Amino acid sequence: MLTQFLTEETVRLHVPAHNWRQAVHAALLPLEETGAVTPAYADDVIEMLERVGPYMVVAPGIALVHARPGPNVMRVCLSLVRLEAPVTFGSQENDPVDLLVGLGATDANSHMTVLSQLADLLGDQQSVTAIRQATAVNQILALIERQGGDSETGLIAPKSSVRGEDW
Amino acid sequence: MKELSILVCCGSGLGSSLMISMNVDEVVREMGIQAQVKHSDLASARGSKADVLIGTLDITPRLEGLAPYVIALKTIFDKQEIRDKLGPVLREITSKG
Repeated sequence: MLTQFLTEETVRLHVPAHNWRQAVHAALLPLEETGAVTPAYADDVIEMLERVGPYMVVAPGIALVHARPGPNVMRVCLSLVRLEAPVTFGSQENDPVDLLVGLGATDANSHMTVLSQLADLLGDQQSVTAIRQATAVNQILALIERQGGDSETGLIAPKSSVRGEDW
Repeated sequence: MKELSILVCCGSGLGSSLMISMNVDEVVREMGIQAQVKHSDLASARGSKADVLIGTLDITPRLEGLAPYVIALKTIFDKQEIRDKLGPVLREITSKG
């Protein structure tokens, strides 16, 4: 499942960015280029970061770059971008950021399986280190393939008590 | 007693909050506690009647006062941090019955 989203086209290394805004654009560029989001999606993300703060920096050095579903997202999509040099987002705990995951969601729940697999990948310190040390995209793709080997079909049942509706 | 409600919040309500809620769900089940785990954006947190609100450190200052308990997480991937911070809160709430 994760391997369908993170591919040669959507995983990139040694990407230059001098500040967090450039980093957001860099993270979303693969998704723009594959037609999964429009260029305006980056503006949605930047607006959200300006308004709410650096909460998208979700772990040491890792940002989950995303905004709400809307007309700028064509389909559920994911990218993984490693910067040439880290940038700061202003996060209390987790700056500076060198790994960015771009996410486009179409509703509250349809990206759940792919996010749960992403959590397995990025929650594993060894995998994160391997992603940081990889010298070629195909090393990362091989890692993702190994990691997702036992859940290839993506048929993980949604947990019944987790819901995205408002209260 | 009524089922506990836990609401995980983030800016959009579907990125980090969804990822945290999956881990929270697992921790709650490990503890054998009946709780409803939901995720939402900040605006919905304001009107919620949740017993516990959870978010990352960069978001929890906006959650203070909106629920009896507010838990701030450093990272969204660390289940142990959730066990360490949510566990005592859930035990306290359930012991009050």
